[in-house]
Amino acid sequence: MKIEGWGKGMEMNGLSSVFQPREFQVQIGAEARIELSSWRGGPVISKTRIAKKYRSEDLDTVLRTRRTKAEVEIIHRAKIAGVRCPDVFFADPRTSQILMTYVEAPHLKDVQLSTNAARLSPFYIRVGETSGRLHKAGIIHGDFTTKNILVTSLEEDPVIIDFGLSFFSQRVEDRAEDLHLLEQAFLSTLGSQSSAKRAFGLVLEGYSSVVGKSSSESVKKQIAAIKLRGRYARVD
Amino acid sequence: MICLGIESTAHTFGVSVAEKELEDDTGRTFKIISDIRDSYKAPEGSGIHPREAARHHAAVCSSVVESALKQAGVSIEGIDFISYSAGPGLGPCLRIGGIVARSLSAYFDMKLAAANHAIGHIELGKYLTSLKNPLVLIVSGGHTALAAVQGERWRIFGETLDLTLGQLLDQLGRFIGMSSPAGPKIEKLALEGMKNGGSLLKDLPYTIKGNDVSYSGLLSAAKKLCLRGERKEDVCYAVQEIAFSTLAEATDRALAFTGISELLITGGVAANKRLAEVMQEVCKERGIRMGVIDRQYSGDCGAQIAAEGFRLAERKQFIRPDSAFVRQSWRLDEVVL
Repeated sequence: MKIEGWGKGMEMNGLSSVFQPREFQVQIGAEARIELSSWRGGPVISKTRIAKKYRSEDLDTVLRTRRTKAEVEIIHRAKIAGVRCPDVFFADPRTSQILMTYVEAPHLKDVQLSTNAARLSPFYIRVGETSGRLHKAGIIHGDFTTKNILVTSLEEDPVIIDFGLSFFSQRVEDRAEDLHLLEQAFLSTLGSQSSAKRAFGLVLEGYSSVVGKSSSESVKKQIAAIKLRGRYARVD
Repeated sequence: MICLGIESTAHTFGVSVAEKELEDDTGRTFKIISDIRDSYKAPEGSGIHPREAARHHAAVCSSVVESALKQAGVSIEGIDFISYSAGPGLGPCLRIGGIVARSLSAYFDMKLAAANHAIGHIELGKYLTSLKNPLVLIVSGGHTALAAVQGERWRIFGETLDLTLGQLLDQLGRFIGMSSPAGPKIEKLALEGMKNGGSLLKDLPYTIKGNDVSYSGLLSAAKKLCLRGERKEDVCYAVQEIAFSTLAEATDRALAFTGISELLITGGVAANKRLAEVMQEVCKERGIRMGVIDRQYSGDCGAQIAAEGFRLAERKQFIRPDSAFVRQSWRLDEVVL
């Protein structure tokens, strides 16, 4: 399926002040190693799940194979749902490696810090629509933070990356957790309660326009319930 | 100070006489002088019946107290205070320990401390391994959790969502005809399943949600494998591998998150050598120290209740006999340190 807007993603569209090409750092997470590599002459991201010595080799192989396959499967389904995410060029479950598009664009987090809020408003709605599409397709991202949302242009949909913790679920609880994580990321980046609330309100607006009013209301209710679970929680 | 620790949360009625200089935070002066236990034995293929276990405890309590004192060479007048396990545990069992502690305290006019059983496992583990501020992996019949002190409480950095590791092993054991506690027997069988058991790993669910583990699906799937006619040895091996690996993954992440440089393994399942091996790998990769509670004291015992008793005594958190309580549910993160 062809996705609207894909391909011109590398254009900076006024965001060049935010994104300066830099030396790509190899990142070693708890689970995988992320490196810049090349495939057929072009730059790609290589994600390799690291072997863990603490579990038996058999089990380690089974898990890394399973998780690699699941990640690719979920990216595929997300694309079908109309969500922009990296193209998978190649995946090898045996070496638990995935080669995918290197999307040269800043994180939403960096954009939030450098762009004034009014200009970002339409983009927040797009983020909400995107997460609505994922949830509607039964996909829970699992790590839906502003570092995993890339901004190719404020006039385009975001590109969602890192489906390493994603899973399929229709549960309201899982959907609410996904969005609650995003709200927390907004809070820590934007600093003030009111601007985070405004931004997240726009996300929910976009979300609601995709999943429908009744679904979004139950998710909103659940988000409130999740907040109450925290110690010394206050929900306004 | 000399403490009489009384444990009676589940199948074990245990009494220990232990000594420690208060205000000594090195723990070097902590000494277990005697540690006597008498455990209720469930019939093969069945678990602990709370009422039957309590009946057992009531029958043996006075002789266990007596032999603990006798072996320590201390008279009851030589005891400075009593510490008893106030929970969490099985109600009928807890009440026997509570009655013994309350009676002794009232009759001999001794101070009384209400110990949390889980924190007892941790405090004893800290003394015996000399770890100061570890991330704790507590694995037993009642607990499966990762905890570390944050502020004035133990904070949980991952735990089981349903069965504990001890329950998983016990219930699998019972299903294949063993009696509780089945952990050691399963560990032995698993060694024989090492060669062929690997092929079963892909048939069992590996569940880790966030940093929490879940074992109920693993138990059901393991039972199905038994019914399908797989060798017990192979099933035991595969179940152990999956259960320990999920826990290792959670531990690995908790260590990364907290930045703590020590790991303590305590509780009944700490006696499992394979578990220690798995965790040793996690610690080796991170370059941190690991301590496992001595096998002799990993299971429920009076010494752990005495160890927690000393912590309470240092804070002068004594209670009056008439306000002594037992609590079947008592999370370790509820205790204000």
